[in-house]
Amino acid sequence: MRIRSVEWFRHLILFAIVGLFCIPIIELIRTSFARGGLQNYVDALTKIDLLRNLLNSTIVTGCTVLLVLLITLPAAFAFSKMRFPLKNVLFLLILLALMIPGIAIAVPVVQIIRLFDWFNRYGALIFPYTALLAPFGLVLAKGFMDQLPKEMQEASLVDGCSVFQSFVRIYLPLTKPIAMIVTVFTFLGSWNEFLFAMLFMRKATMQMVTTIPIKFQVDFVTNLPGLFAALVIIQLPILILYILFQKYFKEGLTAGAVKS
Amino acid sequence: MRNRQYSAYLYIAPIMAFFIVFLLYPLLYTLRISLFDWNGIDKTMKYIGLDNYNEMFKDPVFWQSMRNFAIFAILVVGIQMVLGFLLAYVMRRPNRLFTAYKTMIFIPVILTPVVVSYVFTNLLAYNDGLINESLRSIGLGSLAFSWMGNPHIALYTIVGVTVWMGTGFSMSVYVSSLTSLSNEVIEASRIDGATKWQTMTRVVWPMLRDAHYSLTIIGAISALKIFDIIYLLTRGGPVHSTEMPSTYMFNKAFGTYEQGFASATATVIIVFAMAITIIQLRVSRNSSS
Repeated sequence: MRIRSVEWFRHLILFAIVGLFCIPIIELIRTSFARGGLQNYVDALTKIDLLRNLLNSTIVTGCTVLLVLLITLPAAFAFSKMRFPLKNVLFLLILLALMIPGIAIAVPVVQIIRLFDWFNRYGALIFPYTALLAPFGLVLAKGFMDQLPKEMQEASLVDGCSVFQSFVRIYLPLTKPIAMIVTVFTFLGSWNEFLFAMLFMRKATMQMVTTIPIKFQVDFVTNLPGLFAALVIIQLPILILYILFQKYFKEGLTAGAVKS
Repeated sequence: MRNRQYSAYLYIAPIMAFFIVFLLYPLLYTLRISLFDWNGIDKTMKYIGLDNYNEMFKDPVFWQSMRNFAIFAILVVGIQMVLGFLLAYVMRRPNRLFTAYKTMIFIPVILTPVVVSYVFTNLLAYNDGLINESLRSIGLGSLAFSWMGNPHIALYTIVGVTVWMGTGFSMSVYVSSLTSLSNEVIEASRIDGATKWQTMTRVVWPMLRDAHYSLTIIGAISALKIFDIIYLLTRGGPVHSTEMPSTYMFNKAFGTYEQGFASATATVIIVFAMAITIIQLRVSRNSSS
């Protein structure tokens, strides 16, 4: 009997800790329905014109994900399966880039965006995001390709395939799991980014979902539920994807830590 | 070496182009600008050698940001590791309830920092925030602090918010390393007469060295990177009590437009990031060979 009560006590503590973790999320959802109920959501979409910001974030995130996949998968193939001079030096250089915080290069990136006249254009975010997120994708994808046998390529070369064909027809289809993980990682990094979105997208119609709450800080006092409804909407795409692809989310975010 | 494949450069050219334009060039540019007196806008730049660095190293606010960074990094990494490990260990048996719990604890990891900061601004409000109202209603009104307005408390409040966001991550890392560690280890140590506590602290914990190590490196880097949460919750205040290298640099670059000076701070941040990366490469190479 004593063991039972110890067990119950432990479950109670665990339940309390999980409860504490849930409070902010419950508060977010509860506040978003306060006073007006669903009307808060309608207000957020119509009065704040959140749809436009959702569209902006979707375009930027979609393009960033595509671009990251497009440049990391071939590079991972080359670093993993081909031999060429300076291979290790170049890979090491990209590894060093892995840790650079966006803020540390903000000053020159502003100059670059000004030079290209990209302010308030999607490119101002898509290209820097791609550069910042691709190195991690490369490390993951190369690690994955290292585990695929090289004999497959040799066999295909004997069968008359070019190196490029062996990449497209044989390796690429096998990289789907790692491509999913890179996608999830890049999606989160791009959707949640704040600093560059704030610096480069000043025009109201070009703002990302992460910077609009600042624009509506007045609402924080006058219409908190409306603002919180907007916050829930910002979060929905991520939560829906999390529910659908839970496995990839956990692997995508912890992959670097578990394997290395 | 036979048949070098020069076509490989075609495969890596796109990623290298991004790397050069948006990472390598900005890095070198930052190093150069840090030697100039420049507001980032005017055409005129004045070369002043290491004066920006001298000025920065004399600025008590810079040192405060470094101290805050150290306290923040040590506390966040330590708490996240211990809490994440305990949760992973207690819930190591596969079971539906535990899966649901773990899913809930992981959600903050993927939430948008901007959203998190607004939710916590609301939760921690001095007058009508849920936390202070709850404390007052159970008679603990003396604990109802001004969580973000009190310079002695604000940094720890931000530690708390960050731990809330990051524990799901460390827990997941420990969950994966615990599954690869067989249950027999735990059973064997119990049979050998170790108590449950001894099994956990002396047998299992030391066996997860790789996970501890990864989490320390990743934690140190994320502490160096943290910006949005602090910018939105406290802007580094009150009286610089939550100032971090990142917010300090941001204020210099885009607040007072001393971009030469800001680049000196950025250089220090980059040196820190490089140092952590090099330590990581060294250790992971030693352990794999």
